[in-house]
Amino acid sequence: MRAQRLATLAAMMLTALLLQVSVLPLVAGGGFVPDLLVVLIVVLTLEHGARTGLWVAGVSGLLLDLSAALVPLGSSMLVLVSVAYVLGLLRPYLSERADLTTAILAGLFAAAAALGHGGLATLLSAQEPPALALVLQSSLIVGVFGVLLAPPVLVLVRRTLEGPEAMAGELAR
Amino acid sequence: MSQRRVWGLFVALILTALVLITIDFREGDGATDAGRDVAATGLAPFERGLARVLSPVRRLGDGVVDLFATRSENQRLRAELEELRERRRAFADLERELADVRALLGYRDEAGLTTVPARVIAVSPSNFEWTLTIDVGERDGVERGMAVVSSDGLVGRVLSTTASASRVLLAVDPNFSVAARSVTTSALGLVDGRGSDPMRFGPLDPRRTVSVDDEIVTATFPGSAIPAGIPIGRIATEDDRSSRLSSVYSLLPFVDVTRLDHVLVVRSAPAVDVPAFEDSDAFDIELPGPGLPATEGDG
Repeated sequence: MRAQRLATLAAMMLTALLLQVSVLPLVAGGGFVPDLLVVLIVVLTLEHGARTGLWVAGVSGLLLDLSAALVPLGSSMLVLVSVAYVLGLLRPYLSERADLTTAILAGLFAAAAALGHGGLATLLSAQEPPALALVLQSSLIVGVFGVLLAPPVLVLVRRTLEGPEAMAGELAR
Repeated sequence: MSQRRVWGLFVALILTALVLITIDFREGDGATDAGRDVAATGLAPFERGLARVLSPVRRLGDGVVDLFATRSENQRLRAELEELRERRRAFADLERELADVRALLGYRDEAGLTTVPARVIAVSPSNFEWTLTIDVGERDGVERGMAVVSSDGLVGRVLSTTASASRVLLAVDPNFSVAARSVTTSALGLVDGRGSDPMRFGPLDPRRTVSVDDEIVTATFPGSAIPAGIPIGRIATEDDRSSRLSSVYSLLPFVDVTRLDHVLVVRSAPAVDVPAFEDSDAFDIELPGPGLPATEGDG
């Protein structure tokens, strides 16, 4: 059962990563790509706890860094792990199954992650650092994308990790 | 206990990230190239598969983007085309102006006239007065009575001057009159303007006749500052002479007064008559005018 859950999480993470690097750049708004991995980590952390979120954040962050050519290795991992940890700290204070809260938090943390990526790029990049206005703009747009992506990700996570029975129970409640 | 495990996992992951960043930052690309290559190799089949599945969507997206790009490019090109058309119109105008000025200069050199070039800056606002204003005046040596010519022939004479502008009475004005002669028959006479109607040529000697298509040029005349030999026009018809003793002819002017941009004010006449037409040497009647250099007939 545990192995199946791990396999599902791995498949989910890999799919999100592939979508992040191949599909989402096509739907970039104003030149900014939605951050699906952050949304997935927010949803997983809120739904399944900080440990799940941290593991997914660490592995997917590392894979994201490896799939990128210029980003310093470990920088996305640092940002995503921080997102999962802070959200894990907040989790006990949030009401369960509050979908709107999840969507809002996904937007806020996606925006914060964009700021984190921008800050790390400013600190670590060998090239010209991104302008502050650009970082803020990307944070705003990625945040909006985060809010929009959260509901379908939430439904998918519940359906795949909890099964149709849980969904039915959720709907009946 | 669970909270401590989370904290431990967080610290471990953060430390891993920091170590990786440090290695990547200190060692450059070489240290992490292997890992990136492995990741690229591992992800490549999935990326290819996904790209294949999504290629119709991508093409559709590209098509939509291209559509907008094409539309904006179309708008830009249309604006550019309009600007080029505008420039072409301006260029055509400049070309025409250049041709006018060249013809004018050619005429001046050929005729041996001492002239002042001028630009037409205004035309008479009245329908009963055929005058125009040029941008040269007393300061440029222009005086009342001087002839004004274009490359086609006689335009008129200076009516009044100010320091920097002059008014020109056009040859077609009813108040304009000038001594003239037929190039073919040498018949001397007077040319009068008649406004929008054709000009009129009346030979002084009723026995001398002219025929249709004869070219009429200015002739020297006492008191006139208009040099001889400047083309005026061509005989069009002989008017009804039943009520007159002598013949009177309609004359179509060579100069289109509605299309004048540049003119020359003749400050001094040439030593000989202006050779306006090739066959103008065929006649020998010359009348010297006071204030003008002697003509060939004076010799």
